[in-house]
Amino acid sequence: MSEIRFQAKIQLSTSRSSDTGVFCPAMNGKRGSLSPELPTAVGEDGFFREISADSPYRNEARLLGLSCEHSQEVLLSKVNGFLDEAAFDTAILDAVLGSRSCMIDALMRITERVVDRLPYIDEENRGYVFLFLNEAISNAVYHGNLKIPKECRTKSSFKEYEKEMHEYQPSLLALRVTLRIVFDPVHFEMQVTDSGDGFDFKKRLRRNHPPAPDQESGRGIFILKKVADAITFYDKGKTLYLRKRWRN
Amino acid sequence: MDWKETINGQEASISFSGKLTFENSSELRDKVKNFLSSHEVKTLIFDLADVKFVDSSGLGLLVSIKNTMTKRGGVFMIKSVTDTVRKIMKQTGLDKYFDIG
Repeated sequence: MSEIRFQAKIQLSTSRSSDTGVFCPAMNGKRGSLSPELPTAVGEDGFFREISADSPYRNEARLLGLSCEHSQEVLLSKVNGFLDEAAFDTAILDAVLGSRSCMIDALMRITERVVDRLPYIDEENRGYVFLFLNEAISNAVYHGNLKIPKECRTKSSFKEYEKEMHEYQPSLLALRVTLRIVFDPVHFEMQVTDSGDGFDFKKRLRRNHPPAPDQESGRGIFILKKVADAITFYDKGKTLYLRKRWRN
Repeated sequence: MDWKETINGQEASISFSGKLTFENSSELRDKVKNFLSSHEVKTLIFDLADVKFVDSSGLGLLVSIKNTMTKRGGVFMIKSVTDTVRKIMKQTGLDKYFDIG
């Protein structure tokens, strides 16, 4: 099995630099990199921290090549230490993960740590951030990469499914999800790319009403569309971009 | 997930804490299914006071529990919904579909 390891980079600053061109969207004619530049050097414990006076991001932490066997607690305490020492109101989180529950969990927990330190994200907006993240990651992993049939998703847990795949189709678990999340005092932005074949996103985006209330699935993209200020797909549906302005 | 069940005659109340998302909705579905197969309750109440977050998979699970209870001639109620969860339900109109106390 070609192993995929969790990688992430967190960049913090006190103001968002206009020339960093955070990314995307086709909406304003500027397209950012879909594959965030992630580091190649690997620290012994998988964590590397850098402070560069020249960078618009005065604080940068890189979480390198973590496998599912690494302790998330150690990683998270380092992330906490890094965030505690920085003064910031803008954060960019880049991550590459495999289709593994441990990596999804690591991503969620790191994002929680960042969100906890941004005072302009109130309880309601926090809910929306994790709604975006959950819907995007579950779409990318379940539909895009693993193509798990709906019947299976309701019958067995992802961890059980993952266990079976580990035995019968381990290569699928190495399929990547690439993600960039940007928090600044005005907006939230997110871009997520999966390794699947895409889907008919135009049809899904045209839908202006939720599924019938007794339907058990089909609400994910509808919710994203309803809550985000802007949402679009690229690359035949393999990349999702969305943006929301904070409203407190 | 801190799962608690209270049974009073034909009425059962279930509470749990944490989140209700694609990461744990199947696990929860199994627990509810096992509970309903071993208890002939007519009213099932979900206490969501300690559930801080729900996504579309979690909403799907709640819908499926309501469908199951309706099919067996029973009632499914939700109580103590947090603001965050209520707002997410509202985005899809499910706040009106569920019997929220």
